Amino acid sequence: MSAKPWTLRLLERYFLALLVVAICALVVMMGITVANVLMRYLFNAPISGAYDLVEICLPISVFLALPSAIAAGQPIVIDLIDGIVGEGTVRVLKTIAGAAGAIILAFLFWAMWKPAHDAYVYGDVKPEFGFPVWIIWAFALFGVFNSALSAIATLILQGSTRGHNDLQDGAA
Amino acid sequence: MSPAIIGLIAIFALFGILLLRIPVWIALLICGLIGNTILINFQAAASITGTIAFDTVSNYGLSVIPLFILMGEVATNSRLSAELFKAARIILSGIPGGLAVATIGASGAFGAVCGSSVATAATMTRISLPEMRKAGYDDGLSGASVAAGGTLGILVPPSIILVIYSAIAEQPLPQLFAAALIPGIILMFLYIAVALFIARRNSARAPMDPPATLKQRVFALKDSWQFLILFTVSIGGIYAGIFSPHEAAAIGATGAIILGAVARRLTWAALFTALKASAFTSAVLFSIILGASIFANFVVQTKLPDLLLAGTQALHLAPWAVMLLVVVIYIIMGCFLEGIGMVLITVPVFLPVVMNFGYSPIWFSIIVVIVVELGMIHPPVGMNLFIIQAQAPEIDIKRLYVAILPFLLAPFGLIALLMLFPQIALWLPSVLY
Repeated sequence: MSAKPWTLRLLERYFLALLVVAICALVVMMGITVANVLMRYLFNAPISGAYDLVEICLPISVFLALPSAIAAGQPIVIDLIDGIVGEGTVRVLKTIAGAAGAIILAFLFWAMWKPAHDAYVYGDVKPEFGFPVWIIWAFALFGVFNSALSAIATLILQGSTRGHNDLQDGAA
Repeated sequence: MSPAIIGLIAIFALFGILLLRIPVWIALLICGLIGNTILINFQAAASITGTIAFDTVSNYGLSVIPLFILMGEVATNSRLSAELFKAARIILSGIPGGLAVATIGASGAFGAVCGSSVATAATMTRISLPEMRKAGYDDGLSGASVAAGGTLGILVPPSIILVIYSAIAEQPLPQLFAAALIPGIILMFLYIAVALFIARRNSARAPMDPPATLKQRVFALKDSWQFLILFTVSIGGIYAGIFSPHEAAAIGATGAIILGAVARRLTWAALFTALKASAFTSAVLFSIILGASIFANFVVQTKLPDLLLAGTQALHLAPWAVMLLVVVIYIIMGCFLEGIGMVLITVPVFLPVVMNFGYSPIWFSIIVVIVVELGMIHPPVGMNLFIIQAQAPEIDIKRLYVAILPFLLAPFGLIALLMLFPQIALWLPSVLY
């Protein structure tokens, strides 16, 4: 088995780092909710901003885990056609699907830019916490950008290895 | 061309794109985007897409999804499911088909802390399938029991499908969870009845375990204490009105971690595996919700539900006939579509029609979950069957397709019961809320 190129190893570690941030956001979401319940029932003093913090952590967790999920080949696909057509056709369809994924993610980044910019310009903040909404948008954009990067990397690797994908092995 | 016709074409185009192996969320997003572009213009469609993408993933109501997934993953990685199966096996020893019944019972119980059909089936495949094969069970019956039992994961609360239904149909989640409990238990008993019937008809397919003593059976019950605590605190907390579903999910996930650590069954590595799997699964589910929200936004704008409603009214069909039609459409769609995507696409279309014919949206949620369950086990896809086959490749998929057929009677029977006696789903919410 050949050693993985350094670019691939770097990408794997980079996506893993993003995944760790996503996991941290998930843990914070869980922790703040439990703390809020305990404070409410034990001391009648719910944590102010707990609701906002959950709404902040949720998109961070989802958007930053997405690049790893894409690299690991996790998105759900209906593969009924695999039993009908030949391997070559399946490979072509996988390439088309990968390209469509990369294009759509790049489009999504572009489509999210304007409302993110609006949130910055109008100074939207979270009601309880006063946390600037544009920062959450920035995390979301960062996640979508990296998801597009992940989709492109997966596509390139798929093409160069004719179906076998080292990035998927690493991420999974 | 009228918007409704554009909507219909988009739905057929979606099926076509899905069959070409485009990931479900990408296919939904493409169809929604193109549809909105045709109906309005590209700039507006792009703006809708960008805004919906962010709003969907920041929706507080959906924050229960990663937390319930985490609870299930931690329960899986701390071998809670293995304890449940062990307890059920001892309690049910001495019964023909006892292991198959134990598998279904443990799946139902595990579903009460898991919320996912695939996760339940995958977990029980690892735990009960080898035991059944060791005991000389027929491979088809073993696999079918696991697949059928796995579907209980999405009906018995907490159910991820019900969380999503709650968000799109704007129905209170605690009421949906309450509505699902009795049908979930009935379905479990129906599956058990099928397994017992098969075992009694041909005992060679399901050899009997030597019967345990009464003392052993009573002691076996104590092995399931962790499950009882988790279920009572999280789901019981919702029923009792102590916690919101989000809080119950967070407490359930924390409780699962603490219980796993106390029992020394959850290592740091297993916890990281559970956290990683939860983040992955959540990202995948949210991407589908995101794509489907954009598609649903387009479908609603086409006024397709209005056209459908007018069409059914023009046919002068009885309400039960309309429901039957809806169920048939769901079953056909279940042959090709993944469950969550199917719910997200169809509920905005069918719910107004169903409600117009006097059916409760809470009752309808349970029907939707059951038809999604059916899609998880009926050919030509049957995701649970593939999950089993992937983990036990020596079992032929065709054998599983045949073996699952008698088990399909159970969800069909439950749908019939729910249509005849809607109170099966509606009684508990009416008592609790």
